[in-house]
Amino acid sequence: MRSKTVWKRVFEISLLMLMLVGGTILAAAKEETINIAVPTDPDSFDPTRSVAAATAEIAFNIYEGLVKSTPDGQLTGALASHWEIDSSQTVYTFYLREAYFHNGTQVTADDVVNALDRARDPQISQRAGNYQAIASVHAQEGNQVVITLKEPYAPLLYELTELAAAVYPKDAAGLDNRPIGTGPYKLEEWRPNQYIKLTRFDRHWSGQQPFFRDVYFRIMPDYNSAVISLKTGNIDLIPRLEASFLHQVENTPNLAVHADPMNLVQLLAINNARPALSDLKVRQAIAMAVNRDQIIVGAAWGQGEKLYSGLSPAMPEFYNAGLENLLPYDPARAQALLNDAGYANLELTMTLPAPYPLHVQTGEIIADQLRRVGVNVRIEIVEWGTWLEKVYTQRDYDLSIVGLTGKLDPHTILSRYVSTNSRNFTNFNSAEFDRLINEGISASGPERKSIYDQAQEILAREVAAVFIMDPLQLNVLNAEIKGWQSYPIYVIDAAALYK
Amino acid sequence: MRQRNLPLWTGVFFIAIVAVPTIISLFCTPFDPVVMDLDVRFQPPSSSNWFGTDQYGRDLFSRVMAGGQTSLAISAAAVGIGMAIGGTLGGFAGYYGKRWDELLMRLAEAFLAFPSILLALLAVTIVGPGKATVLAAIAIANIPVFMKITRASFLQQSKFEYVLAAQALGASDWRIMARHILPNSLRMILVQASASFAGALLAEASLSYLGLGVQPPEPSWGRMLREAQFYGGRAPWTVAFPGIAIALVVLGFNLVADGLRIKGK
Amino acid sequence: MRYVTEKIVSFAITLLLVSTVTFFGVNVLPSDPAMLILGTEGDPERLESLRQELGLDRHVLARFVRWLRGMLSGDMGRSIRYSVEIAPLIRNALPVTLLLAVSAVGLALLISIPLGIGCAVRQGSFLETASLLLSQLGMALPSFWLGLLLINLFALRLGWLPPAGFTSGYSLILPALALAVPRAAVLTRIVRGSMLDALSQDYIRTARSKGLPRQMVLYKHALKNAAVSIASVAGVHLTQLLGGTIVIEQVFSLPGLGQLLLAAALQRDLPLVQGLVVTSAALILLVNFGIDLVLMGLDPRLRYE
Repeated sequence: MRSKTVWKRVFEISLLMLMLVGGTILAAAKEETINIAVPTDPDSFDPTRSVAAATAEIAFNIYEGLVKSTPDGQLTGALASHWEIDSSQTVYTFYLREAYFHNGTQVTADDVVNALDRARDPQISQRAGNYQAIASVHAQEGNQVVITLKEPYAPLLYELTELAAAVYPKDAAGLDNRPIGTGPYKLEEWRPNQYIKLTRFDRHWSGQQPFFRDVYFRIMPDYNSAVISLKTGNIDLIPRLEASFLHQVENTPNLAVHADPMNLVQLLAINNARPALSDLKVRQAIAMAVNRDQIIVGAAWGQGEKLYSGLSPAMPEFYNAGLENLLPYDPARAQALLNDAGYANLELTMTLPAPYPLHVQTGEIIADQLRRVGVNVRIEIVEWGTWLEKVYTQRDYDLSIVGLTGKLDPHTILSRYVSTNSRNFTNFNSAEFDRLINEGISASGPERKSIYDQAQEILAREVAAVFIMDPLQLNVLNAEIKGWQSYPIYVIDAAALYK
Repeated sequence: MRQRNLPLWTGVFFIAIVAVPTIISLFCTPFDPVVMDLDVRFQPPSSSNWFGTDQYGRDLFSRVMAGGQTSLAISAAAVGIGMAIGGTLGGFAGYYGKRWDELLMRLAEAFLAFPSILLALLAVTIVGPGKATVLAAIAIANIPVFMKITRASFLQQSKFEYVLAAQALGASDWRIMARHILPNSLRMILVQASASFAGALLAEASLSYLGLGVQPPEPSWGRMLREAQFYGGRAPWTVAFPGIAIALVVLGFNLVADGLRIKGK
Repeated sequence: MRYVTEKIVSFAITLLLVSTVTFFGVNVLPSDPAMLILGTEGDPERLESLRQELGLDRHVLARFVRWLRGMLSGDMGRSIRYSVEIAPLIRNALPVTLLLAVSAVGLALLISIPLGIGCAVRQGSFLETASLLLSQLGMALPSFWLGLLLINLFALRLGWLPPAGFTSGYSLILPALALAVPRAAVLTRIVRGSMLDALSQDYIRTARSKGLPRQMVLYKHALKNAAVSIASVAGVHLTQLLGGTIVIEQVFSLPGLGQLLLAAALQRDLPLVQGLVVTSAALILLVNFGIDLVLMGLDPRLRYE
C-alpha cells in the first residue's frame, strides 16, 4: 500500500515537471519588439555614478543632456534648441526647448542647473574631473541656462554630450535602477542578468515616435549562443560582435553585417619609466618591430584599421594621418637600434587582460614579433581586477595591450599622456607635449587642429605607446531591420531602427 | 578469467592511446605547439597535419599531445593530493573511531554537500583564475571523497581478527595501519582514484571552458575546446579532437575503475 | 522529533560555518571592487572616496559583524555590480536553476529507470550491452560539449527549440537534456545493479516460486527494494546540480544562480558572491534534509537508526 502511494507521487511529480518544462509559452508581440544582445548588465543608471560603457550605450536612449552627438560625431541640440558662446569663450548660454521627463513633468532650467552642479561636484560624481573648467551654472529668465567657465575650454560641449551630464528631475531619487530622463525610450523593467526592457516614450520633444514599442537588451555573456540566437531569429541585433565570430555570420542571407570604425585606440602600452624602456631608442625599436598588418589579420580577422596615432581615424577632424612613415615596420633597423642602445638581449614581461580576447591575441602575436628582433617577452595573463591594479593604477608593468575608448574631443583622449595626469599609466613625460595639450584647451579652429597634429606626432615619435589599430565594430542585424546608425561613441541608437 | 578483466584492459588500452603520445610530447612534437603561422590557419587534417591546424595555424596534433601534459598533470596532481590528505584523515577516523571519527565525518559531509564548481569559483574569487586554482579546487573537492572510502575500509578491517592479533602482540598503530590494513584497503582506494581521475579531467575541461583554468598560450584540452567552440562551424576538427582525447581518457579510467571493482569481488 | 531538532541545529551550525569561511575567503583579497568600478576611464584619485562609500575602508571584522547581522534579519545587502538589493536578484535567478536541476534529474530518472530495469531483466541481451556501452559514453562526454552539440542539432539545424536565453519553458529542454545524459548514464547502472541485487534476494525467489506474475514481482517487490538506493543517488545528483549548473547556464545563456555567481566572482562583487554561496549552501542542505525524509519514507528501517 505504502509503496503504491509513493510511486503514485513520483509519477505525479514527474508529470508536473514535464508540464512545467513543456508548458508556459509567452507569445511575444513580435511586430513591435526588437531584441538586442548585450554581453553584460549596466552598472548603474545614475548619471553621477555610472562609469561602464555598457551603461552608456543603453542610457543613450533614456537620457539626454543639453546637446548630443550625431552619427558623424558632430554636435546637435538636445534639450537645448540652440546656444551662444560669447567672445571671451567663457560664457555659454543655452536656450531650452519644451521637453518633458518620463514622469510627465516639464524640464526646467533648474533641473538642468541641479544636474550639472551635481555632475561637477567631486563628492557626488565619478566624472567630476571632466567638468572642473566650469566656474558656475545658473538659470536665467526665459528658460535659459548659463554656464560660465574659469577659462576657455574647447572640449566643453563634447563633455556635455556624456552620460555624466545628462539631465534628470531635480527631485529624482533612486536613479540607480529607476532612471528618469527625457530620451525617446524609458526604462520599463530591469531584470539583472536577464534583460533590460525599454518602452517608447510618447512625449519626446522631437514629436517623433520610434518604430519599435519595446526594446529588449538581453544579457548574453556567451557570444556563441548570441550568434545562434541571431540566426534562429530570437535576437535581432548583436552590436560589437567579436571579430572571431565574423565567419559565422558572413554570407548568411537573412543577416546584415555593418563594419564601422569603433573609435577605440588599441595600443601596446610601454612603461616609459622602466630603466630599459626609458631609453628612446629601445622604445623606437619596439615600435619598428611591430607588424600591424599581421596583427590585424591574426587577431582581428582583418577587421581593423591600422593606427599610428593616439587618436582614431574615426575622428577625421583631428586625426593626424601623416605619421605612418615615422617609425615604419623594419625588424632589421629595430635590431640595430637595440644593439646601439646596448640592449641586445632584452627581457620584458607583457601583462595582458584576460577578459579581452582581442588584446590577449594581439599580445601573443606581438610577443612573437618582438622575439624575432631579440627581445624576449614573457606573457602574463591576468584578470581585469588585477590588470587595473597592477598596470593602470600602480603602473607596475613593462608592456601591456589595452583599448582606450573613443571620445568626441581630442583633449579628453590625449590629455591622459600629460606627465602629471593621474591616468597617464604609460608614464610618458614630454614637456613639449604637456605645453601643447595645455594650449589646445583654449585654441579653436585650424589653430587647434595644428596643435593636436603636433601633439600626436610627439606621441608617435617618442613612443608613448605603440598604437596598433582601431578595430572595426561588427554590428550584425537581422536583414529585416533597417536604420542602423553608427556613432563614433559607444552607443546604440534604438530609436533610429525600424522594420 | 580473461572475460573478467575485459573492462580493465580495455580501459588501459584507451588510456594508453592518449597517454603515450602525451609522454612522447615531453621530448618532441611534430610541430611547435605554441608558435603561430598565420598563413596556414584552419587547414583540414592532412598527411602533414594529422589533426589539421587551429585559428593561429598551429598544428592541432602537436597541441593535443602537449595539451595532454597539462590536463593529465592537473588531474593526476589533484587526485594525488586529494588521496593523500583524504586517505590519511579517513584512515585515522576509521582506525581510531570515536570522537575523531565523528568530527572528521561531519566535516566531510559538509564538504561533500558543496559542489566542486562552487568551490572552484570561490577559489577564483580569492586568487584569480589559473592552473593552480583549478588544481587546488579539484584536490579539495576530492579530499572528503577519499576520506569516506578510506574510513569505511579501515573501520571494517580494524575489526578483523588479524588486526586484533597484531594489536595483542604489541605492534604499534602505525605499523598495523601501514603493513596490514592499508594493503588490504588499497583496491577500494584505487577504484576511487580511477573514478576521481575521470571526474577531475572533466572538471578541468569545464573550468577551462569557463575561462577559469589554464591560460593561453599553454594548451590544455579544456582550453582548446573553449577557443575552438567559436570555430566549430568552420573547422569542426578543432572541436572534435580535444573532445575525443578527453572522452577517451575518461572512458578509460571509468573502465579501469569497473575492472578493479569486478576483480575485487 | 529528536531527529528533526538535531537536524535543524546542525543545519544552522553548518550554515554559519559556510558563511564565515565564505566571508573571510572573499574578503582577504588583494584587489578590490572599487578599482573595477572605476575602470580605465576612472580617476585613480577617486579610489579612496569610492572605497569609503562602499564601506571597504572599515576593518574586516567590523564588516563581518555588520554583514552577519544583516543576514540574520534577512537583509543580504546591496550588490556592488548591479547597485540593487541582493535578495530580489537571487529571487529572480533561483527558479531558473531550481527548475533546471529538477528537470534534469527528473529526465535522468525517466531515461534510466526503464533502461536499468530492462538491463536487469534481460541480462546479456543486446539491450543490456548497448545501454551499458552508451552509458559509458554518456559519462565520458563533458556536458558543455554535449550542450553545444544539442544546440547545433536541435536549435540551429532543425529549429525545433530555442538555442539560448530563458523566454519560455521550452528554453529549458535542451539544457536539461545536456545535464541529464551523463546523470542518466550513472543512474542506469545504479538501477540495473540494485534491481539485480533485489532480484537475487530470497524473498523475490519465494514470491516467484509462489507463482506471482512476473510483472508484479518485478514492480511491486524488486523495484520497491531498489527505490532506496535510486532515490539516494538521485538526491546526490540533485544537490550537485543545485550548485553545478554553472557551465550549462553559460552555454545556454540561462539567467540562473550560476551565471549570477560567475559574473559576481569575476567582477569581485563580494556581497553578491557571499549571498549566493550562502543561499546555495542553504538550498543544498535543505534538499539533503528533504531527501533524508523521503528515504525514511521509503525505508522504515532507517527511521530507527
